[in-house]
Amino acid sequence: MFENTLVELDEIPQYQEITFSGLHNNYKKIVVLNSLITLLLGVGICIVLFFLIDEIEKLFAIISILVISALLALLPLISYKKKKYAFRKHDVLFKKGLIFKTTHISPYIRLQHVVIKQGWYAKKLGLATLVMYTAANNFSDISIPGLTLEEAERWKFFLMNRIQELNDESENQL
Amino acid sequence: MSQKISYNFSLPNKLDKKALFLVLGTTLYTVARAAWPIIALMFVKREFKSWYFFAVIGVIILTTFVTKLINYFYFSYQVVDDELIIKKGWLNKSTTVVKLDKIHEVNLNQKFVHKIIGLYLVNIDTAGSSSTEIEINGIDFQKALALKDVLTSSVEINPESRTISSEENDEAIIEDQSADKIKISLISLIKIGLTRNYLQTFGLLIAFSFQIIDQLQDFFYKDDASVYDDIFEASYDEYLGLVGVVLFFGLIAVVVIFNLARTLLTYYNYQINLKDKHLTASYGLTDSHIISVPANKVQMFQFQQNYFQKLMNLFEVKIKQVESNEDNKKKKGLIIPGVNHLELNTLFNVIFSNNLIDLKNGYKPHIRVLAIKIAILCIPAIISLIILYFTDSLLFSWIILPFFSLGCLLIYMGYKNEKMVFKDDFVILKSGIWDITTTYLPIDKIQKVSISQSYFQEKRQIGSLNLYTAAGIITLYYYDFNMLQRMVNEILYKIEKNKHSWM
Repeated sequence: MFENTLVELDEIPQYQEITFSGLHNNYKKIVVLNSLITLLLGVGICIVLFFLIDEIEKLFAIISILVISALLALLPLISYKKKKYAFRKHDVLFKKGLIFKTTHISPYIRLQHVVIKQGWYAKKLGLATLVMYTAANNFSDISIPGLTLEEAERWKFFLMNRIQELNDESENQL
Repeated sequence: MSQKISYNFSLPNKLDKKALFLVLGTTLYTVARAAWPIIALMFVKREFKSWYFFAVIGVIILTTFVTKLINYFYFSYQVVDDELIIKKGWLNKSTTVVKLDKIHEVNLNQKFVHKIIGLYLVNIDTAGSSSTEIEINGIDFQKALALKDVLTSSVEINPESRTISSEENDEAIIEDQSADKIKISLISLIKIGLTRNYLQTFGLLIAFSFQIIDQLQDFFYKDDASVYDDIFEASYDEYLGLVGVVLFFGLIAVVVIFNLARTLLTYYNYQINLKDKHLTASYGLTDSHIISVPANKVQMFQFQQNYFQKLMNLFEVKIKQVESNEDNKKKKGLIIPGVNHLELNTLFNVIFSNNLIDLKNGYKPHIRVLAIKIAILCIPAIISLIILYFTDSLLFSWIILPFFSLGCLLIYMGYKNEKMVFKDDFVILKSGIWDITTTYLPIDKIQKVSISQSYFQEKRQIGSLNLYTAAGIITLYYYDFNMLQRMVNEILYKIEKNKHSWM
């Protein structure tokens, strides 16, 4: 049976009013490690340049590379706290960004598949990333890092069930 | 759908005998395409005229021919129950099995060689990656049509595996039963050919001419001189203005003629059949194509019109389907050049069983977007000023001014044309500077939304919204944030409540 009663705008659920949950505390360690690697890479390039080039203008390049790598290392350290997620009954939300605050939302009924990813350091810490793919091609996956492996698996199980349920409902509707 | 001759697809079918010519033709073509610079060089320089050179080319042709021949003999296709089975290979055998309901679209194409022999190339697109795309090269027309019917019939026979088909749609199918046909006349094709895609063709021409000039230079000029020097010398003379004017108009004329020829070649004899919520388009002069698009697989509906086309009441329609993940080169979409407003409405009606929506009261981006874009435009201006300063030629800095004001004008026109309407089940975005594109995005096709606001936009409550679909992204840039939030909530509500599938 299909109902289509009149809806007032206020009755439509508001995504802004949801309380989001933050990532696991250990995720900070991963971020710090990544920042360190970025910084080391930057410094390494600078050292190589310093010894390779014999002109005074090299300082401009070296300083700018240093500044850029420092920025690239610093920004994630500040902004990782802004990464938050929420699962509603019908969709998943993921919020991030320090200066450019973005909220990604994807309804479960549009999800194609759900994958759990783990890097080596995350594996050591017992963390995992939950990636949800849709059929849209570019940048369309939502990936939530910094969940414990157990959480990620439980969410995956929940999502798979939910997707199946919704697809069945969608087919029964005809 | 009864054919005069019945075909049995349940047994393995071989390609047509005449496809042997196709094998020969494509062999020659591929070798010629790969080796044409060498051959051309040989003819011009007359230095490599030794026998082993010909021997090498002969061996290359022979090996390609033999491999293609083997591929030809070991290729077979059959339809068993609800599966299409393709077998190929002699030493490395491969079998591809595709469920019929996973087949997206079946297109019949004819290259020039095919046209001479009278055979068709059947392209079968499946949902998923491009590696599972199937080609059956060399079937005659009747058989190709029959195969197409067999492959696509499952779509119509068991609608429970399909999806969108509420009661309204069933009614619409009955209404549309009287096979509508749209034919694009030669005159409107010429009109559209004269007015479309200036920029694209211009780019193509420039790329082409640079290549040609470089090639010519290799042959006719010594190393130290360049053809550009000649052009410069010529233009430094007193008739600089005249040369400029002639070049300018000449270029415009070339662009227009090139455009016209390209359009006529590709879209000659364009016909669309509208039947059972199916669009079937056939077109082409040297290469023919027959493309059919089921209405429920249309992801986005676009039409564009520029000032001249507006005067002549012509639109160029683009029907976008799922783009495959891997190769972005081949954008899937059906282009219909030169339909009038009435035909546009019919098309829209067949696809969405809905009428075109009046765009009277829509939303516009915040006026600050102008300031931002002009600020971005200032960057190249400042850079060129700096360059002029360091090269001691500040005298010429007035040159920047007309370019800058032209940029500002274009930005303003873009702003003036942009408009967004969110009504019924569509997000409609109208935008563009010269070619004004109107995009209809059905809400059910949206896969993901992302709404964003930067720190600097908070005070004025501006934000941006990205709508991700399987056919591309639509971005609403610099709109009222509260409105966008309301829109997001409503879009999500509709998708989740309706539970329509998107394909």
